[in-house]
Amino acid sequence: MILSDIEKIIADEGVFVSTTSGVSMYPLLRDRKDTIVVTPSTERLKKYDVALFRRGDSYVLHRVIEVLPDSYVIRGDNCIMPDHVKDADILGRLTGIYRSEKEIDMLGRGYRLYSRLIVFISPLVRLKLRLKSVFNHIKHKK
Amino acid sequence: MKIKSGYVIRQVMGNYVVIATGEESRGFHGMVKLNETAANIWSYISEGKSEEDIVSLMIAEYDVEEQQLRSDVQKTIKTLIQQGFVEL
Repeated sequence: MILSDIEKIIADEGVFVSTTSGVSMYPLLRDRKDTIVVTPSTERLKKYDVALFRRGDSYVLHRVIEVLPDSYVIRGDNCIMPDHVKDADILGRLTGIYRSEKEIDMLGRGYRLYSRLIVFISPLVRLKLRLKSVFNHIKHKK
Repeated sequence: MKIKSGYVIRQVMGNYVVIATGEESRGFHGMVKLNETAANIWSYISEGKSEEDIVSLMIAEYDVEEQQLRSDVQKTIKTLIQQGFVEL
């Protein structure tokens, strides 16, 4: 994407609709399959919001896991390492998701529960659980 | 006539926009706004309707003169083809 386009679209249209690439927000967003709707945020973001932000020459859509006085700690649902993002680099907030053709109710209980669980059970925790189960499996075999 | 695989229409905040998904999103990154009439035509094309079908259906729906409507439908379809969203 011509990178300045995203910022121009958000500024001109007040909304940015697109698909996403990569696996960093998997399983919520699948590579080039699902649709995101991003709108500029007039207020500060809250924990569990998904932010579109500038990271060097690229744009990233990840979840806020901690709100600091003038910045955020933001991590992809499927990522181990978080980013520390200044308010000035935040372009907008994810306000709509279509998984294939189905629109997700982002205010609904299912999505809110998912957001909380996915932050709580981060990929690192998931990896530890998996290793533990493999380890137990090996132990049982002995 | 059909919508090219990978292009989808989404209604967002009262607007209709076309975006690319899947392999198409590697080459097309934009977001094209459609007005309600064009969005209607899009949905008829996705249902497999011909230009003639679309004109008859829309005459029943809109209070306009047939000649004007036919010309608008043709123009819209031509634009959708030129943009690469629709293929014959």
